[in-house]
Amino acid sequence: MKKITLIIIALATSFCFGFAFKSIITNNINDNIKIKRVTSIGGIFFKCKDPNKMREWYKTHLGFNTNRYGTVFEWRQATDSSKKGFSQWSPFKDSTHYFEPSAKDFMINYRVADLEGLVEELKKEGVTILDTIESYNYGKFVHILDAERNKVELWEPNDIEYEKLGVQMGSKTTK
Amino acid sequence: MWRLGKNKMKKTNKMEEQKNETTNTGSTNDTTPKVTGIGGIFFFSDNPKETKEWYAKNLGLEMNEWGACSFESRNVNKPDEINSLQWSPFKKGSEYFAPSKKEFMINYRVQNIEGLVNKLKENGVTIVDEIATYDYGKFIHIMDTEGNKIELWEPN
Repeated sequence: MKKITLIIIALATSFCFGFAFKSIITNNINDNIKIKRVTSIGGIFFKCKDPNKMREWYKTHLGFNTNRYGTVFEWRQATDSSKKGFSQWSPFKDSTHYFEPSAKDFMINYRVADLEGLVEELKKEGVTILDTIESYNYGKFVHILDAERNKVELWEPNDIEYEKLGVQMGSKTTK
Repeated sequence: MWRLGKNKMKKTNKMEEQKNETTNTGSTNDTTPKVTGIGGIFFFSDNPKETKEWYAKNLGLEMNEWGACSFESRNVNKPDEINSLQWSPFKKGSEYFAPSKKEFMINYRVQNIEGLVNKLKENGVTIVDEIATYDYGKFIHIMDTEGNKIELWEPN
């Protein structure tokens, strides 16, 4: 009887050890897989008195190809030159609520590689997430607050669809 | 403030020079004076050090030794050419944005900066200073129609 008890204890102990080791190993692996976060700038938005006049000014003097939203800067990705990338430039009327709850006169959009994964991480890290992920055919969006309460727009782009959208609108990019 | 990224820019420009020797022909050799991209985004922060740390920790921005983050892309017309965009918070109230009263300043990449400045002068645009030349490019500051200071940069 004593023998059986010893065997059971030994088995249970080794099982627990095995479990503990597995946890340690898995944790280490998780620590090593660094989630890809921001990859580049997806846009710069700023408040102004008269967005129409602003778009016109930048078109006339600096050669922007503007549409009713501002302009889109076109570039290629550093890691893969066959892939295009885009950054949106838009002046907003100063009465806009789009930057709220931030009180700043600008907002930056950052392009990210994996929005769902990043939002999960940010939640764990206690970062303020302002809304839920919105999906469009040209990408997914979410808004967060940084340490100084700047509203930050995160965008996981679908550049092919984004380019199509511009073509449909008859807009030219700035490049 | 581009001086901060000097060595890195030098390296990039060397690459660009080499590539340009072979690619600076035909339709890619457009000299129309205009903006071609965003070269930098600068904004006020109460505590730039903490802001940089927050963005490094939470959004994975990698700061270089001068404390700015440099995003790389390629020229859409010349895919071999690497371009960079500088991101940097500045201490709130920094003179660097003056005479603008805004909390941000945008740097735009331009081609043919001399031609562009001549055109802007003819158009009556406010030019804040004169073209300053460094080994990583030429810079000038102007004001837009609503008092935003703009940095124009023609990379070398």
